[in-house]
Amino acid sequence: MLRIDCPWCGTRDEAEFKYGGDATAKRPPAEGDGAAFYEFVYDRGNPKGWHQEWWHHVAGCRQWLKVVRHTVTHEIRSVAKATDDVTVPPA
Amino acid sequence: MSAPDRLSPFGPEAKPGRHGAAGGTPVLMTERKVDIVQVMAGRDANAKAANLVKDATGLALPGPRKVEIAGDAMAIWIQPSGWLVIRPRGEEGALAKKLGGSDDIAVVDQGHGRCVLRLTGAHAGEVLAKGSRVDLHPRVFPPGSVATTSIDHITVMIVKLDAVPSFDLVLPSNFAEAFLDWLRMSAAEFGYEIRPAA
Repeated sequence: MLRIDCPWCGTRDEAEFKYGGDATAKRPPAEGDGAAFYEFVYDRGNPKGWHQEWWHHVAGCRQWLKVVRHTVTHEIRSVAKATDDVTVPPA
Repeated sequence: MSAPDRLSPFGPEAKPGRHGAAGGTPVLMTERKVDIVQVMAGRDANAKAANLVKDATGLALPGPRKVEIAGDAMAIWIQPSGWLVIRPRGEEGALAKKLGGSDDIAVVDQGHGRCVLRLTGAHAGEVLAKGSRVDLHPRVFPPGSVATTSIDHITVMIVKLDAVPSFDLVLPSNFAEAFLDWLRMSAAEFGYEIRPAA
């Protein structure tokens, strides 16, 4: 079980959150070609190591958060607001 | 002509009386007859919202995880730029009307959407702890704190009122009956008493 340190609510249990995927993926422009959208929606990496990802505090303050988590050890290095820039440690 | 009395969202099972284990200090459960209004401020409108609520109710808007309590009324922080204003039930819709709102402040009457149950007694914290993932120890959750969490898959705002301890639980009305079911199960070992709505 992960404990996520929500910048608004304090340290809370993983069960209050929903995972939202890679926080570095950028949505292509709507007028772009289908291939770019296919890549955005389906073609996601499966990285081993540090990962910047979205978590939604759905049973709490309902804010989207940026979490830096290690995909092997599950260590959480930082939790930031959606508008913050975060640094990801080298793999 | 007056409107008929509102039905309790806690359902027909919420009849006043003493239940569960006998002896000891029972946990008291009281449905609070209140008006609830949600206030959401747009970008850079927090100060404006604070003035609006102050003028209409005299309450200051609290910061994250905090509750502002003045007598029977309170303002609860629910999320960034979002609060609930709660006060004893008056004329239907009057509180929302008084608050008004504007282009950058949304005021929504939640008087039917949400309801409040007061839980008080020496064992009230233990009753909640069985289903809550939030640390309710007084050291980290003193009176005047609020935490939104999930109990029995139902989103609940836990407002700590005093050191008895007493809590006000803000619930979605359509899950109130289901929540009470869980609460009664959790409180049975200590004994509990359902009081008439007040």
